[in-house]
Amino acid sequence: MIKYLKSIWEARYFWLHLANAELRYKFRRSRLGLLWTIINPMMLMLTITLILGNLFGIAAEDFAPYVFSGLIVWEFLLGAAIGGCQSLLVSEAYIKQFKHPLVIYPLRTILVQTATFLIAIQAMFLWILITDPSKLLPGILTLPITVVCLFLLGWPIAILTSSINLKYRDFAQVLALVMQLLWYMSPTFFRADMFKSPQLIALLEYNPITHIMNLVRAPMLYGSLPSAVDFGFILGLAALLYLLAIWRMSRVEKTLIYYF
Amino acid sequence: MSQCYIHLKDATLLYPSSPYNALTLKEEVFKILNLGKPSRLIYDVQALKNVSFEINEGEKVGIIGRNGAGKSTLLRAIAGVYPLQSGEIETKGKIRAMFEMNLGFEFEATGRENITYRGLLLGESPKSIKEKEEQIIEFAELGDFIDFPIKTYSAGMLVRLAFSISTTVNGEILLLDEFLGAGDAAFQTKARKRMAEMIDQAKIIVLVSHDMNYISQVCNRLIYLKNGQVIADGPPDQVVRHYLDSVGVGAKK
Repeated sequence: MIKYLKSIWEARYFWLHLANAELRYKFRRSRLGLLWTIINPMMLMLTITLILGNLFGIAAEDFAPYVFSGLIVWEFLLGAAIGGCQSLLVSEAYIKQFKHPLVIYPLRTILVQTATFLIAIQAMFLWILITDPSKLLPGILTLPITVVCLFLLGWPIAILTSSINLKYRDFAQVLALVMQLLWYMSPTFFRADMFKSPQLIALLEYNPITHIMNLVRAPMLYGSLPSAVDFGFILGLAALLYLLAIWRMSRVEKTLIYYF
Repeated sequence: MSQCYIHLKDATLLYPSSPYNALTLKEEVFKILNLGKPSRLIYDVQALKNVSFEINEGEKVGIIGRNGAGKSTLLRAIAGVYPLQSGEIETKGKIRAMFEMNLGFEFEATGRENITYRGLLLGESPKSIKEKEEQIIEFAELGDFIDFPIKTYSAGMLVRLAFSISTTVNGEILLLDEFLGAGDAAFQTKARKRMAEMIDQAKIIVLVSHDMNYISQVCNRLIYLKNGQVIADGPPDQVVRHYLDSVGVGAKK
């Protein structure tokens, strides 16, 4: 295990460079480039705020940042899960010629997703700068923790989805459907005060995604640190995911090369 | 500093058929309902069978054999890319594998950027690549095209770039799989010279080729592989003769 981790570190120039290249490639031909990272969630947020905000009777200035913060975290998780599916497939050329630990390819995907997240969250900072500057400091201070937590969660997700998708190419489709389902249950736009039934509120509380989103919401919307419960869920989920990823890779890593 | 080596002991490698035998949903259903014929199953392929040999520092070993004998598989096993089913491979020394030249190119990126990619892929640090960059660009003779995305390159230009990058990074153990490709005549001469330099500098070479002349010139030991097994292992003349006789190409001398 230590040897494996060491070999990941030794390949660091390589995967850092891969991540770099992918980020530049993403915006190579587009005119607005990086701005799309912000425009996309922003447009979606406007739609949701107007429609659902009206439906539930929540004020737009209140609802908009809630939705936006949820959206950018959701985008990250989606990118980790579904973008992660492709991470081994697209690296076929490298894998077949050079002996590097395979987890560096999902790592590259997560680095790209993290960078995208960091760009998108600038819009949040801009918003609270204008509307509620008191939340700016907690936002900035907790940003490193947020980023580290997201990264820690994202990597094993990408490792798992990429190794499964390599063997069973249908998996990405199935996962997309599952994520679509989860989207409608997700706390991206649902808030506890929207519900009267205690069961629905409990569902929201037990959904780990609620707590992941609190990483951004707690400091930037409410000016506080994410709660112990939030961290409990996050670390617990991360521990579970890493165990799964380590178990999976220790079993299949050597033979994955045959599934291209 | 202790010597480099490659030790193989009873190395056996299997290409599993399971990735190819996976049934689609329709076939599964048909199978359950007993309708229609199942398509013929592919079986596992024994690519290497109990291969054992030792290569020590200073040896330049050529691997010859018919197509499908397991030569490329053997190289990839030594490179650590394909896992063994049983047996051991132990290597000491920095391995440089030169298999397919165009692998690992990012087509949207420029030639210059690809130099960095390839270099990093080979285990160099950004600093050391920077140092070698000028040398590589000069050898490839691409002029201003070095800053164009490589998807604009012609096939020959790609080959020149690929070769130029691959041969700048040296290693102690070189694994070459029929590496010399196309390129115009002038470049071919330069390329052969560069290859000769690389081969001289490396401590161990394992080379796969079908060019009997080239391989006898370059190597001081040949291994003849047939159906994944070592049939002959010795000085070039002997093994080449054995090979040619057994495939019936025989004494046209």
